[in-house]
Amino acid sequence: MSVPSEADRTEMLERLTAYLDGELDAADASEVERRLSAEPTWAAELQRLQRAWDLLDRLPRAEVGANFTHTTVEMIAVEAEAELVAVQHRPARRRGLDWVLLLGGAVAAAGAGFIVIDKLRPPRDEELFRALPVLRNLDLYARTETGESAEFVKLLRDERPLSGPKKP
Amino acid sequence: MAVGESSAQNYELRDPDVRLMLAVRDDDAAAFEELMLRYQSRLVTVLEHLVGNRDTAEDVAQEVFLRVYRSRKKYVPGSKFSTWLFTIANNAASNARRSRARRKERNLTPAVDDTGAWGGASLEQMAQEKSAFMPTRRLDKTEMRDVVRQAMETLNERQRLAVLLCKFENMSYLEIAETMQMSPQAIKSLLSRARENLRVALEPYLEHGSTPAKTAAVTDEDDEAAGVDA
Repeated sequence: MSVPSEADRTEMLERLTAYLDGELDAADASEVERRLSAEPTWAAELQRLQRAWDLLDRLPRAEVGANFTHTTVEMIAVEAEAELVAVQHRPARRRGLDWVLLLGGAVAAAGAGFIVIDKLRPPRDEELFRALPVLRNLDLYARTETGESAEFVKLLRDERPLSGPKKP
Repeated sequence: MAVGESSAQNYELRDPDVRLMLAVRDDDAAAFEELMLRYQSRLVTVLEHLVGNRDTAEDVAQEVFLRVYRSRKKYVPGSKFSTWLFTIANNAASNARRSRARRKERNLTPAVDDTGAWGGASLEQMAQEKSAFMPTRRLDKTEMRDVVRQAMETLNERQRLAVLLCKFENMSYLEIAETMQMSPQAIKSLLSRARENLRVALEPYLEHGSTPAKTAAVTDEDDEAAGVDA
């Protein structure tokens, strides 16, 4: 067998590892097996990899004691209690928040109502402005003789200074 | 990550631990205790190799269970329960290692064992001592266990975690990839290099019983140089 290049060796090692870990599909596994039977160097390499892997079984597995379980459960219980206290305090805070929201809503509604009414109401200054000619001569009109009253009333009816613009 | 409804139902049907976790979500304390009993030793076993000592491993395991409890209300089955649990464990172990590294920097102790694990001699020193005095003696059970531990220490953190999940948790490449947030192809390369490193570190003990191999701990940068990317 010729000496494989570094890239070929790396690729073959990856395939051997995947083969040992049962990660190859049937076709790839067959291809690896074919090469293993044809190339004893790779078969030996596979054995060495597997033996080293099997040595990891010598590593001890931790067995935690009852103390670990007990202290962990205590930690969780403290956490759960803190959660419970937070939930119990939530309604009181919620009520306070509700009052603030209610007050805020009332203020907003009052403000909106004021704005709407203000928009709908005819402007007071405009009304006074229209009546200005009459108001200016109010003293004069009050001193008018009776004979002139009919003419004054007629004038008022035609002018209608307090009833908006004159109709054509 | 968004999890499809059918995918969640699939995991719920297939994985009894997922069903237990869903019961925990509904505040079933007995289900939580059952999950703890099923996983606490497995978790500490893996964490012991990741963080380097038993006490820290137990502390981190408790932190993991606390995180599981805190996130129960948001739990949606998007993988096997063990995959989800060991993802949390990996993150917690990384945090613990970073904290330890910061403490080491502050202490600036010159004689600190860089591996932080089980103290004492390196694999190479251990083998040399034994071969010098008893070249043909077979290593006893305890000695062999220490040799294997030291061989594990020659792996970088990613290789070590992949080996532990594969060997101890019997996870598939896909599950390891999910746990470590890498691609299955990257896991295939990572495990191949890890097995090769273990083979190099342990071969003297397999073949000759005592002759040491020249080994040095590999780093994550070595994996990156070899094209093992997430």
